[in-house]
Amino acid sequence: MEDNVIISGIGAITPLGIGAASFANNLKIGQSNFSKISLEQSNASYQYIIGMAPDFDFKTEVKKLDLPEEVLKKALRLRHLSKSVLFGTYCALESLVDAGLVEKVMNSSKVAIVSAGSNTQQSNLHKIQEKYREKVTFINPNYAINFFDTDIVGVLSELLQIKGEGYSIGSASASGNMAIIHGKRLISYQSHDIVIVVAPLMDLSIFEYQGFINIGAMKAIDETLAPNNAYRPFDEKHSGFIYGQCAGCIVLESSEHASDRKKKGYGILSGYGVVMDGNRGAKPSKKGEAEAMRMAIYNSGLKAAHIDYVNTHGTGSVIGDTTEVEAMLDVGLQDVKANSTKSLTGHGLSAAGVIEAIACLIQLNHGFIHKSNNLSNPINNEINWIKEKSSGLNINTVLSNSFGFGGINTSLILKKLKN
Amino acid sequence: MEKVIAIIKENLLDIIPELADEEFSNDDSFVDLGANSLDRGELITLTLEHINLDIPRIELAKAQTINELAELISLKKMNN
Repeated sequence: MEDNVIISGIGAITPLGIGAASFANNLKIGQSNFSKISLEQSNASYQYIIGMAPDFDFKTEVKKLDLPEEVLKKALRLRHLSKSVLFGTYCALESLVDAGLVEKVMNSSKVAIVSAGSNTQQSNLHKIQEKYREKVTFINPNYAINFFDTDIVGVLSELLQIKGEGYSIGSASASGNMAIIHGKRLISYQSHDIVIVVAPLMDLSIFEYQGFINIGAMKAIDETLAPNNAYRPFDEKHSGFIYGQCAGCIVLESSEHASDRKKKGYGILSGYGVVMDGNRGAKPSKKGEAEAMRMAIYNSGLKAAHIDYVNTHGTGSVIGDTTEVEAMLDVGLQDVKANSTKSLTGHGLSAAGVIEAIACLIQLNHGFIHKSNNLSNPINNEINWIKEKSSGLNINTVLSNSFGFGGINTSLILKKLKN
Repeated sequence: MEKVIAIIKENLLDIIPELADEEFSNDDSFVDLGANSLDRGELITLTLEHINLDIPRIELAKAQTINELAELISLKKMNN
């Protein structure tokens, strides 16, 4: 694959803060932010551990961005948007301002919008359904637009009058990576100069929390551990994932378009690998994961030995962590530096791939690898786990994994830009 | 009828807050007031919910102004 796509803008909301800058600072510090929450349903109360994003007021935050007046005016007028879409919209605007592309994308048919994830607004839909349970005929007609995952695509297209392709892409927890991969394809086909890859918040309702617990993937409440010590990817005491409220956006741009406007950007989106492993369920596959990594490395014109750092899928599920380590060793990634961004942010589910690509770019540019939180006793010592922050590094090539239920395996390679 | 007009106006201001700073007549068309078809659908649904009148929306499709809508709704309310 040609190295013809760069990342020229980033935007993020995570439990570590609002905006990509606070995300970067807290990755450096190794900050985590997990807490217990109570959700009510039919007069009963249920407890979960989550990584909660800070209080977010769309209007206040969007005013802080350097947006053209007409865009800001339209943004402030938006109504009936779910929390999921508001988070995603903010991240998209932040990343476009960061890329210096707000005016350029307006009215352009060479700009596409790809959103990552399906069924990302469950909490909002559940609230509306509860409100109108006894008076269905009075449901707000906006519901018919709200419930589609493409609401965010329409919002961004209207705000910026973007006229290229637009849709959402769902691949369970691999959605973020898959949307990025699709963006690379759009630019490689030369139909688009810029692709806005936005991952709205996957906003769970109580039913998804409990579904994840019952399938054995999410860590149930544990009174013996403080919330910040509970999430332990690749540690002997790992016992499931903890959800984290994450949204993000990266702006992909053709290298040619970026060099014409003398924009350097954060890194190169090099190769990728995507394979299914013939399994509908939640069970991971060593063969499928290894194949995705091999494809990504091969398609980037590299060998395993060239990979400086692996941003693992690293969800903290016992079988998931074990399988990923086995797959990494199978590919020849012995002794590679690796960590789990989820150990700090929580698992953003459909947004995880985008957030982790942003984490990779931050680390690549700042020459550090953030600590893998709570990794005291690794399940395997053939990987160079980064237990405490490692600084002063020259990282040129990063591999980032995202695997989804239904046997969807994806890997990306990000490279440092040449000076 | 006056009460229905007041409810419609209150809902319209929720949907298009900018109208609060403008002078407009109850005979201006919804289009001229800046309401698109979705805004209009929301206005009708909110108003019907407010007065608890459940009638098919198609029966109100012809109303183009606040006065027309209020008149139709008042009529349906009497017959309901």
